[in-house]
Amino acid sequence: MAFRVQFFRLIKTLVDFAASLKTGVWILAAFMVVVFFGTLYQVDHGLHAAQDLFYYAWFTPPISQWPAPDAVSVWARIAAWFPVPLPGGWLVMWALFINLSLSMMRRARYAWRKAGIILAHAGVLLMLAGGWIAHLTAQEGFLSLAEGDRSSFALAYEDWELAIWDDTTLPEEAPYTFSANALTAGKELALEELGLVFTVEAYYPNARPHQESPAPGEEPVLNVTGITRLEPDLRRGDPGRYEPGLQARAQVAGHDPQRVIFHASDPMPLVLSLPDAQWYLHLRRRPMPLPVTVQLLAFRKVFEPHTTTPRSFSSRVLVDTDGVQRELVIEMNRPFRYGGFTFFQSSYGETEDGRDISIFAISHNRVMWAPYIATGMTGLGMLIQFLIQWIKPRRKKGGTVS
Amino acid sequence: MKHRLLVVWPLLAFLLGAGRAVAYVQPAEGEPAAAEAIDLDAFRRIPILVDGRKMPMDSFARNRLLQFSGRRQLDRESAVAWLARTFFAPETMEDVPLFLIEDPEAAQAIGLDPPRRERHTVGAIEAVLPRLEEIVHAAAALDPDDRSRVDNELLRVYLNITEFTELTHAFVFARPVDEFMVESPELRNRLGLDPEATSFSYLDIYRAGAGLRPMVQRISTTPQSEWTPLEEEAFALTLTLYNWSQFYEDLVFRIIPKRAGDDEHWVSPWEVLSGQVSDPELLEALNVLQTLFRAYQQGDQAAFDQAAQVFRQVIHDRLPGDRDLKWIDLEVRKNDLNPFVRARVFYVLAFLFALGALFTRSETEPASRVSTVLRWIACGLCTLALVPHTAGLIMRVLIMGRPPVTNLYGTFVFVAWASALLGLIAERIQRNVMGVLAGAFAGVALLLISGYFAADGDTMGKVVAVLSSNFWLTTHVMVITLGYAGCVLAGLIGHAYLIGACITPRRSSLLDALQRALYGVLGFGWIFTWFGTMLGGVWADQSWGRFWGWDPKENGALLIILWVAILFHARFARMIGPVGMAAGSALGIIFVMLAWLGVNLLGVGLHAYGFTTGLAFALNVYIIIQLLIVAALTPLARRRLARM
Repeated sequence: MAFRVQFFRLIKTLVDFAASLKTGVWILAAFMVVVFFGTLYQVDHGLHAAQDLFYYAWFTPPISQWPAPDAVSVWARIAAWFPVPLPGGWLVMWALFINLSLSMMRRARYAWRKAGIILAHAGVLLMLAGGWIAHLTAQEGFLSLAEGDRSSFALAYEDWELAIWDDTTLPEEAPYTFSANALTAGKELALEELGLVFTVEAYYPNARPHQESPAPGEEPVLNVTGITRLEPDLRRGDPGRYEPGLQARAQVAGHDPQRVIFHASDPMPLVLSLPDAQWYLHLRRRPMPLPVTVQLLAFRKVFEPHTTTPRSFSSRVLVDTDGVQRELVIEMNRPFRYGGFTFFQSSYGETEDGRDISIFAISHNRVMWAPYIATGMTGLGMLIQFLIQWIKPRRKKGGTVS
Repeated sequence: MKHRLLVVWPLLAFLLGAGRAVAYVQPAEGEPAAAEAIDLDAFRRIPILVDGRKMPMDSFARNRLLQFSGRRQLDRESAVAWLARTFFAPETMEDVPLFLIEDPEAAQAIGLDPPRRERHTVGAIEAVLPRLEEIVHAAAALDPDDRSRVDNELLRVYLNITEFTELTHAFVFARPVDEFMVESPELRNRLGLDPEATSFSYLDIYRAGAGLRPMVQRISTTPQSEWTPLEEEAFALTLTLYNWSQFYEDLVFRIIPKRAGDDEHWVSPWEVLSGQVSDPELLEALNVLQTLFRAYQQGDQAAFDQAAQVFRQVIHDRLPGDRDLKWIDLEVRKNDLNPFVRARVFYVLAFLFALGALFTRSETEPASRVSTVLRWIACGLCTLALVPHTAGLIMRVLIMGRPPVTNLYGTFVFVAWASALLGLIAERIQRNVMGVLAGAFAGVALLLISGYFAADGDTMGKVVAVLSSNFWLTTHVMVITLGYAGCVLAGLIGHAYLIGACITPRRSSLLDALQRALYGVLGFGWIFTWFGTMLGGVWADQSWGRFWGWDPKENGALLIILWVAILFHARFARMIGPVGMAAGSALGIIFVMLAWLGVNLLGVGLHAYGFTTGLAFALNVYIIIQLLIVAALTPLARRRLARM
């Protein structure tokens, strides 16, 4: 009995601590540290490395363990006297979420004069929850179309896959796909229908290809461009620009096993001729099926006269939604939204035959409404509370200015 | 700047190859001297396209002079007078101290030996040009990261010299020169040239091309020994005409607009004269420019004004309905008024009177009569300062067709205005001098900082496509800069509280009033920074497809929000008292400055639009001083209040 009392007392103490205003202040301070150091870290390492190490991490290793930048770093100099790990973004944001939730349950007084505070904090909770869900579920990709071309698939920005298809199917509808995340060393990928077994030897999220003459007696390597060796590229940067590479051993029934290499730079799939059909194998960005088919009718870019300052980029597109066609313009600050997907005018290029290419960034985010509502709730809450605080002392003074 | 270098280097190479970096075309012998004091009002209202923006010649002159010399006017000569002389009488520019070399080491490297930063005359630069070219050639071949400070400074100076040289050659087509001398009266007659003159301009001879053509045709089929003296002279003229067209064809000084459909294109005189652009109306425009040139040379005010008016009309006619052209006169008016400098003067006076009111306040309430009068004067002066300040902002809005916050300069001017206005509102509520004191101080300090960014040249340049949204500029940028204004003003009130607590700890009513003002203004700043940041997220979501990307600018704004959140929550949790709140608000200015300027200095991220070198040092010095002030005042204020 005494144990139970003590246990519940301990729980209560912990909950009180987690819900306290002072704890909230320290969490906010920790958040500032994460944001401050993460921002400085971007200077040498770029945004994505900072995201991995600070914002989307539970803990940030001690400064002394941070990857050193190219030059002698100021971090290296101060690391000696700052050997403790820092909290990561996830940790402080979750701690803030818990602190806010508990304090709203235990400490908040639900009265009209506290409406502003409650609304503002509820907005922050929604913002944090929305951010977390978006991080887990949102997909990003791009769609590159030359004038006249159409497509109902975008390409994922960071996700890659090994796709296998035959003459009878379209590449986007490949019957066999293996996500790059599953391509770990030693993994066997068995395609019984084809009598084909792949054994993954190595998968590098970012790999440098090498084309070398095979040494005498060395096992030949199968690759469409003659790549014979892959070397991991450990430089950090924008994961969307990574060029992954896969080295595997392929075993076709009745044949000797053969080493095969796939690399992001392969311009075409590897062709495997089997008695029944030709099969195609390609390491590629994962296609994202779109709810519409988009055809680029015309792309237009306008610059300020005699400058390289862009005035506007815009694409006139024909959108086909289940047979219903409509023409619309996608341009900077004017995206097109449909079925949870958003199409943004992102960039442009040119084909070899001189046709304009328009590049759209594609985002699929089911909780994209969350930050909008959260912003409104928090802002409105702050405003209400500010007005209540401002009016209160004036009333006390009988309406006169203090 | 990098883009600018890319654009200018090919031209630079051409000019170096041609070996005429600062060599002027010598005027024909006996040519009239430049006009002594011609009124340039009509000339300065001529529109010109610079970096994609149409501006009056007056603004172009000011910006270029600032770029070359670091000043907006020479000793006794306005910028536009300097520009007119550069165009129409470049031979008189020899002794003008025009080129500022900031780094004495750079000056020493080319054989000039000043003890400090100095402006060097055109003649002095011309004398050391070979050495300068040698260094610049070597520096240009280096990777930009490998260039030394001296290399960069000399490259900058050399680009200025190149641009100045272009300007001196802008009207060379209209200048009578000995190379186009026609001594034979018969030839002058045949070509339809002025029978009284002997030297002519390129344009004169170009127009006489029809008369030259039959002679040149005969020459081409006749041995040279059979040429008549007249034909020999015609041949020489034709050859010079050809040489000039080859020599100047790359001289791009675009001054005449040409619209084809939606596309606007401006052409240089040489594009017209070399036949790259064919349009008889353009040739007419060149005739007007020649009239302008001659009228200046002859000091003929009436003809000069008329030619300037006609040319201005030509531009308006060629760009009917153009919105930018409508505001050219207003920009000239704004340049003349210099509203932000006027506002600065009033803010300084308001600040001084507010200080006077503060020091003449008695320890006991109510305030003394003198103090009250001084406070009223300070409020009046601060209100007066807001008149030109507001007018200047409105003019910027009209001229640019955008909210007044398209660049760092604009944000400082706007935040100065908002801070002064907020200070006055706080003063209206509190009536204890502190509002007007802080508002006037913020007004003058931020306008002074804005002057730093104005030194870059044009402060109303075009914005890139993604910023080209008046809705988002108005909502996101204006709201967040209002948030900055609130936080800065709260920081200043925080300083006032700390100083007040140290000097007059007994004045509890004043300190309480300051604390209340601090809460109000800081709350205002917090709310607006929150809204501004989140609206930025909405804009980013609309433009780039993500609400939050941990971009340095976003993080900077988040730091302000978190800092103020900490202050308010720590105060409610009684972790800090009024002194801590004041100290925290004062330190909050550091976060505002980091968000506003610091992240731009990092040079990374999508918002690195206002990248400025040289500012980092000033920002670091400010942060250290700010920390020292707070570190010194906070414990002292706490001790003094504890004794009460």
